[in-house]
Parts: sequence; structure tokens; C-alpha cells
Amino acid sequence: MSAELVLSSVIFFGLAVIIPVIMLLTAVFGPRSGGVAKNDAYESGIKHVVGMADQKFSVKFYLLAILFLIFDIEAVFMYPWAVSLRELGMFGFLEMVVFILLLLTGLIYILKKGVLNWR
Amino acid sequence: MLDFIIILPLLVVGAGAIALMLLASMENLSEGSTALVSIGIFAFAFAVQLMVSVSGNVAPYETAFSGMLTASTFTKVAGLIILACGLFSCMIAQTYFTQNKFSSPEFYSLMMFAASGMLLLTMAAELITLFISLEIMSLAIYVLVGYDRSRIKRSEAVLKYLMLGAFAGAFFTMGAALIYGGAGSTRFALISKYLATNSFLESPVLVAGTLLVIVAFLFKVAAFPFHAWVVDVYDGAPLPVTGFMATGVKTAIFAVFANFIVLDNGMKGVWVDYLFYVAVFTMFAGNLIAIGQNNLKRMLAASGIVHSGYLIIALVAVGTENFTGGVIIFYLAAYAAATLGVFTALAYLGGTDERRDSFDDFKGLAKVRPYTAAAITIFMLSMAGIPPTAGFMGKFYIITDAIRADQMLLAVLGIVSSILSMWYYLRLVIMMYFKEPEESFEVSGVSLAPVGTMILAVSVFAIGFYPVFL
Amino acid sequence: MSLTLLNVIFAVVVAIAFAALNAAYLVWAERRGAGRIQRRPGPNINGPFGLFQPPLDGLKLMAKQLTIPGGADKILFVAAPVLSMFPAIMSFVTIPFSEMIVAHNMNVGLLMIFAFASSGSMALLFAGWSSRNKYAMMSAVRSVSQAVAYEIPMLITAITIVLMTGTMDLMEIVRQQGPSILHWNIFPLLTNSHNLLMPFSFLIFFTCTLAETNRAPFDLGEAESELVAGFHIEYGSMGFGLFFMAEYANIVIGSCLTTILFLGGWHPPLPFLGFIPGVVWFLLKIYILIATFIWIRWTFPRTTIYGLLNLSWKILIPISLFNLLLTAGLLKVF
Repeated sequence: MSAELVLSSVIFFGLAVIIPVIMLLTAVFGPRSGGVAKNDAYESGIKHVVGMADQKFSVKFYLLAILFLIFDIEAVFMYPWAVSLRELGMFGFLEMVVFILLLLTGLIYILKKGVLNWR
Repeated sequence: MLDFIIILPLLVVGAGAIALMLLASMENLSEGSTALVSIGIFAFAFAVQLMVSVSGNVAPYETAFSGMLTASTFTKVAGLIILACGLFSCMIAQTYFTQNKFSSPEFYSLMMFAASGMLLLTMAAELITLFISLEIMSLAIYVLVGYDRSRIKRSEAVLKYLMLGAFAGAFFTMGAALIYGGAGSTRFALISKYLATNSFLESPVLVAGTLLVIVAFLFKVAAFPFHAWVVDVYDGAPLPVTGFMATGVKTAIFAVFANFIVLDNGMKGVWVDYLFYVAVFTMFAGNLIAIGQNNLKRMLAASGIVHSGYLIIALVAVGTENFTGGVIIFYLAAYAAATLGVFTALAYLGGTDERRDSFDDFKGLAKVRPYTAAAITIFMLSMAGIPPTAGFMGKFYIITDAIRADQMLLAVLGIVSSILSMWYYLRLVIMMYFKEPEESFEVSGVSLAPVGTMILAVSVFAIGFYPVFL
Repeated sequence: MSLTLLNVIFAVVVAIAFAALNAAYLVWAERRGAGRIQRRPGPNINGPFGLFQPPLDGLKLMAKQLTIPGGADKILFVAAPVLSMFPAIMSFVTIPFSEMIVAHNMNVGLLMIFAFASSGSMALLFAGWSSRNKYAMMSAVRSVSQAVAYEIPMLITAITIVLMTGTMDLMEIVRQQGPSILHWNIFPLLTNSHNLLMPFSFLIFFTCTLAETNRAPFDLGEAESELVAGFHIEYGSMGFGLFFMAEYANIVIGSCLTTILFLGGWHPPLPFLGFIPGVVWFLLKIYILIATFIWIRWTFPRTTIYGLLNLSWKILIPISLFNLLLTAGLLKVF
């Protein structure tokens, strides 16, 4: 294991201790009380909670999530290419142009199909 | 530049698919013109493939794109068959959608995406390329199978196909990973080189890896232990998709299967023993299933299993030295012509919502529509393997090849299976010719499918007379 | 790099202290700034200019009970605020404040910051889902779809910087931007890549930073009129405090990143100003950016969730892709 990895992981786990400690300070300083009303989910001024937390959401949100996956992964693909663009020559550039144009085509199709038209 | 010439047909189909997809999103294409455009694109790609194929050589590992793709006469002709399948499937679709209303331009676009996946699959000479092209093809086909969302039968089909197909994909990936672990490369040429110096059986990783890859292939071609899905899926899929799946997918997979199995003599030697049993069981299981069917589509699906069995015989018989794949490709062409012929005929005879789908529905067709009945008879005879059709020649080449490879038993069993299959092919012929018609088989709408039927009926003979240089 | 335990603890403590102090005093700055803009004094009772307000607020939060609602998923509910602080603080590790002051430089620093930033949306989802409260859930879904939507143009725009500099090492990116303002990536006239599209990239990047940090006009996750307080509605005490700290820490990270990528990092605007230490310039730049953040927040009204998502998917993503293509093309041609 390299020294850098050791350092990073120590920092990481150091944080994993310190932040919960900050949070748990309240358990030491704060009051402790309970009750039915206190345990209820928040509702703006009405006595009983209206509606459920596990309601259904518009399917558009799921579509967005899937689209995000596609575009995010494609964007990450471009990073190594960007680093070495200067060495790659014209062919490397044109390949990525084709790739990005295909990506754009997909986006245009999505937009034209109205996947992202709300209401 | 030579590399790009090899994939030129692929580029044509792929660009066509993308262009059609964009046009579809603009919503300014009518249904009929989309079909015509897509037929045009397939025809153009076919012409391009033909031109590429003319300047061909027969080296097994003529590689392109630094060993990722291979191009030989075998792959080029497989590409031709696939593009022709796409062309005729679009004709079927054009007619089919005059009677079944769930079309949208994306249908044709997906067809082309599937075709480009298949083209890439035939040329794949590397496991990762193979997997990607397999998925390009499969994903498009999954969507196509479930294209009509309003009917429960389609949903059932797509669910079965998707679940099992995903399993096959997983098997393939696992196998590819193991082969990479064993041989240190995903390229066929390098794996072959590794196997030339190291014994195949000494590396358990390679044995397991090739087993998994072969399982994935066997699944996709619906061979014996993995054939259970095929009847329901072919029955549930829309007619054009069934035709395309039965022919295009089979062609692509067998092309790459052959490319894979001829990697190394030692490896082939190990698996041939098992493929022998797979071939036998595939033929007889397919026959048993087909005999019990009353539905035409289900019968054709089951007979597809039988034809996979014959093709596996051909695989068993191929030699790793000087591999040309002529027998396989000839049989695939003959099978594709006959199957697509039946499907083109069904496209206009089927009626609204595929109303006529069982043997009984075609009683007395010959009295009302003699030409169509004659064409269907030709296709059935070709599939049954009766001279002078292409089907007979295909079977003939496979049997002689098997005898030449000292697989006498396999040759005999192939002939027995062929005789068994007469039962259900001729049953339809009997229905058409020796029963009285109960309806008038009216066909609505002007369409292209009758033309396709005619062309394919002619080509069944044409392919049969085409000499094959084994 | 020496690996004594003391060093490590020091780095962690400094990172947390920096994040905490920034969070505390940015709240103060925000409230004072809001006061200015709305022509009222803002907090001015505790200490001179109300400067004791933030530590007192912190003490108050600590003295409150951490209520866990009855229906909540307890483990996730407690884990969410901790998780939200994580990416913010981890990102500080790789940010170079000056040539000297950097906890740990790595050659993929840019990618690492993005990786941590995107894991932040997990905390939102945990918090929203585990609270078992409909407002929290709605807000979490909205916030995540927003964070997700703006991450893409941000990533794509950052590629233009990687194209120009040819590296993902944050130190190296800054080093290439010396010594004067005309070498900065926002307006690189004197470097060997004369790219006039960069102000454009800067604009996209800055907009995305605003949206990524859930700041007005993009603070749909906590639209008070519909969602009361957003995904952390069930949190009180330090749970809320940690979310709050994380939000401001994210703002600081966003400004740091913008400074490093576009505004020349620790380099002074003109070469003869080099006698002032780099860290001063760096901090000056990030606080100017943060002031802009606050200014924007109190100037623009909130958009709708539809407008927000459409801005990203229909405008920013296509534009950033074109921008990337043009930048790469310009680099290749010249």
C-alpha cells in the first residue's frame, strides 16, 4: 500500500470518528424527552399527518435518473481523452467528435419526444 | 482506410437507424414512407455489402481495427444474409402494419440497430466487441418483441426473452472474463496463439470460460437444453420481428459461433463431443415440439430449433484448418429464404391482429389464392429438404460434410430427423390443397409483401442452384 | 510526505475547523448581506456587528435534543447528516490554497472532487427517505434530480479546462495560469491556447455550481412555500447543524474549484503584486465568489422545478457539449 493511500484512508476514517462525535455531543448536552406528538412526522400545523411518505412520484424522475447515468458515464469517458488530446492527433479528435455528436443526437431525440416536457 | 471499407455496410445501416430515429422524433414521416425509406436503406446497405464482398479473400483471420474485427468471405456473406433478412422483414412489417395498428417509425429504426449489431457480431474477432455487438442486437430485439404493449401475449414473450437473454449475457461476460484470465487476451487471434502452445485441457479457467461462452451462444440459437423459451417468444412477438429473429439473429450467432469454435483444434476437439449430443437432442426435441403444435408461428419456432440442430451438425463437422464456413452459410441462406418466405406470406394472409394463425385457418387456400399457396408449398418443401430446393442442397452439404468428418451417426440421425420433420411441414400443404375453403382470404391494402413472397420463392431455387465451393 | 500521526490529525482538525468556521461566519455574512440588500440591519445584538451570533447559534444547536421521528429509519436517519459532511471535508484535502498549502495533492484531483461531490446527493436521499415525511421525500427527490441534472454540464464544462491544460492535477492546472490575469483560464489571451470560448465555459460552470450547491435561484430542494424546510425538515439540533455546515462547506468548495479552474488559483492578477502571499489571493478570490453567491441569492427570485430541470437538460447540456466540441476543435486547429 502506498503512503498516499494510507494517508487518505487515515484522514477518511479520522473524519468518520470526528463528525459523529460532533453530532453526538448533543446527546450529552441536550435534553431528553419523548411523547406521541413529538414522535410524529412533521406536518405544518395540522394535528394529524396528512398523506403518506411513500407516495408515488412522476415517472419523469426515474427517466431523469436513467438519463443521468448515461450522460454521466459518457462525460467521465471523455476525461482521459481530454488529458491526452494533444498527443492523439486528428483521428482521436474526430472519433470523439463522432461520439459527442451521437450523444447529442440521443439528447435531441429525447427532447423532441417530450421526455422532459413537464405537465 | 481499408478498415472502414469493411464496416461500410454497418455504417450505412447505423447511420440510417440514427437518421430514422431523428426523423421519427420530428414526427413528419408517414407510416408507409418510413417503411419504404427503411427498405431503401437496407437495399443500399445490401448493395454496399455486395460491393465489399466482391473484393474478398478467404483468410480466416484477416483482421481490421487492430484485431478487433475480422473479415472473410464467410462474414461478408453472413452480412449479406442479415441485410437481406432486414430488407424482407421491413417488407413484412410494411404489410403487417396495414392490418395491425401499433406501428411507429422507431420500429424500423430499432430493426436497423439490431441489424447493425448483427453485422458487427459476424465480424467480431474479440470477446469485448462480441459482447457489445451481442448487446446492441439483443437490446433492440427485446424492445421489438414487446413492441405492441397492449397485448398480454407480447408482454409475456418479452419478459421471458429479456430474463433469459440477460442470463445468457451474464454467462457470456463471465465466460469472457475467465477466458481473459486463462489466455491473457480477449482477441481470438491471440487466444488461438496461446492455445497453440498450451494445452486447452490443462487450464480449468479456459475450459470453464469457453463452456460459459458456448452456453450463451447455444441459448441465443435455442439449442437443446436452452430451447424452452423459443416457442413462446416467437409466438408472442409481432410477425416481422419473429421473422427477423428467426433468421437474422440465427445467422449472426452462428457466424460468430463458427468463428469462435475454429479458434483452436484442441478446444474444438473437446467441445465437439458435447456438441454432438447437443445437435442430436436439439433436432429431436425440436421435432417433438413441432409435431404437437397447431399454431403456425409456434410450429415455425419449433422447426427453428430443428434447423439449429442441423447447423450444429455443420459446426461439429467444420475443420479448424482452412475454415471457410461455406456449408453453414449456405444452410443459413436457404433457411432464411424459406422462413422469411413463409412470414411474408403470413404478413398479408394473417389478417387483423394476426387472426389466422393455426393450420386450420389455411384450409383450402390453394383454391382461393393458388399462387400464394404454391409459394408457401415451395417454402415448406425447402424447409423439409426436398429437391430441387435450396433446403435440400443445404441439408445435402451438411450431411456430406458430416460423413467426411467421420460423423456417420450424426449424418444418419440428421436424415432421420429430416424425415420426421416432413410430418408438420406437409401438414400445412395438405391443409391448403386437400381441404375445402371456408373463407375468401381477403387481403386489405396495397402492400409489398406479395412481391417479397415472389422474390423469395424464386430465390429458394436460385440459392439451390448456386454452387458452393466446399 | 511524512506520515506522522500528528500530521494527519492536524490536517483533519484544520479541515474541519476551516469548514466549520467558514460555515459559521458565512451564515453571519449571508444574514448581514441580506440585511443590507433588504435595507435592514441584520444580526447586530451579540457582539460588535453581531459577530458572536454564529458561535452562540452553534452552542444553542448543541444544547437541543436530536429528535428521531417515530417512523424513521434510525440508522439512516443518523447517518445522513454525517454522510453529507463527508464529501465536503474530503474535498478540502486535495484543494491547493497556495503553492505550499495543500493537504494532499494528487494527479486526478479534479476527478476526485467531482466524485465526492456526486456522492453528496446520497446523503440527501438518505435524509429524505429515512425521515418518513412527505415533505422530506419530495424535497429529496427534487434535490437529487437537480443535483444530477447540473452535474452533467458541470462535468462536461470542466473537460474544456482539462483540454486546455492537459492534466487533472489541480496544482498543475493552477501553475499553468501564471503570472498575470491574461493567463487565467477565464480569459487566456497570453497562453498558447488562445481560446475565447472560456468566458462562456466559466458562465456555465458558475451556474452549475450555484445549482449544485442548492443556492437560490435554484434552491428548489428547500422551497419554503411548498416544502417547509426541505429534506432536513425532521432534523433538529446538530443533525440540522451538520446539514447546514455541509451546505456552506459545499459553497466554499464550489468557489475554490471555480477559482482554481478559471480564476488562476493563487496567482495575483498582475505580476508585480506577487509579493503578497498566494494564499491571500486565493482566499480573496473565493470570498469574492462567495459574496457573489450571496448577492445572487438575495437578488433573483426562485425558479420552478420545471424551469430548473429544463434549463439544464434543454439548454446547458447541449450548449456545454457544443462548447466542448468547439474548444477541442480550436485546440486541434491552432
